[in-house]
Amino acid sequence: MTGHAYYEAMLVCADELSLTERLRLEAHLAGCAACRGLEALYAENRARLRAMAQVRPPEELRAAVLAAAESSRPAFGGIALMLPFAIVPLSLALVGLGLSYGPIAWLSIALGLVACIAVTGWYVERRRARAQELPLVPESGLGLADLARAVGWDTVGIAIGIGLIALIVLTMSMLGGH
Amino acid sequence: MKRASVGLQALPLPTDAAAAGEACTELGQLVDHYGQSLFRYLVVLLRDSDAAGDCAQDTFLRAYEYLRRGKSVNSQWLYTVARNRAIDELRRRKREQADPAPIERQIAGDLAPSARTQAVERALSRLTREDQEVLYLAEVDGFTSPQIADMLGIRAGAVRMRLMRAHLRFRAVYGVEA
Repeated sequence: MTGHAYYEAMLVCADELSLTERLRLEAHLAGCAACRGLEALYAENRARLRAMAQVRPPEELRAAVLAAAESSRPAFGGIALMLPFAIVPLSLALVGLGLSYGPIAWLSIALGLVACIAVTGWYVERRRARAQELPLVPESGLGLADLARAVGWDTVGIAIGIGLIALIVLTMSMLGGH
Repeated sequence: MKRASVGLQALPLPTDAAAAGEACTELGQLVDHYGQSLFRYLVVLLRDSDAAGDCAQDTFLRAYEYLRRGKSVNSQWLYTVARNRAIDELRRRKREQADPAPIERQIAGDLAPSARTQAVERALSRLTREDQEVLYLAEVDGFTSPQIADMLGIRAGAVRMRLMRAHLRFRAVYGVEA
């Protein structure tokens, strides 16, 4: 395509031409009234289309999109979701350690469980606060209820259950020792 | 941190689901930047501002899902998703034989444009959807022929030919309407 049609095709995408192509097109335009007419037609159409009434999206579009996105996003996820589940195997490992090493180890189990719950709760709460752009610590302070809510009540129940079992075994072990 | 391209700008992206707050911020920027042009494009395709609003919302929510997973979203991606969503809507209408009100009446109701812009709207609505689409993408939104080719799944040469024909048809119809 090197004839007239070639330049017509160039005209329709004049903004995309290289310098060489642009110069070649301009040289052709200088001697071709038909192509100059076509160029003017494209320019007129472009101006008309761009000046066309600017239909605005509904006012509520932005709010609706953001509200739908907000409702679909997880409060927290990834590792944070897995951490509460890590409490159970960690607790079992500590129980195993306690069974092997006696009363002192049982004390460390109880402390370990408390530390596990506190660290997990703090971590998950931090992720949740960041995801929701909330202050890390509420003005009222970060209470146990906040931590429990962040970790999940199921996990808290399991941890309390394991803690109670550990306490009973620890008590029995200490009584047996005496 | 990965970066997403929004038009020619590169924006920071969240890398995991827990950073959904960042994705929400990005989404707000996308809606601000592309909301109007995308909505207008969907009105051109669907000739129905209500359906265009719904499709725009779906498109932005898909974008949010992508952003939340740390994927890149740019204008071509948005327009391609919007176009696919519009095609689904047109297929649904075809099945239900639902024919929306003419585009010019809805747009006139929205913004009461001048007689000249109404003539442009009417002329545009007399063209085929393919012609309207390629004219709108190239001349109003300023996409290049390779970009449009990617969106429409055709060759850039075919886009240029379609654009040339659309210009000539638009001019002929506009001459009658004006």
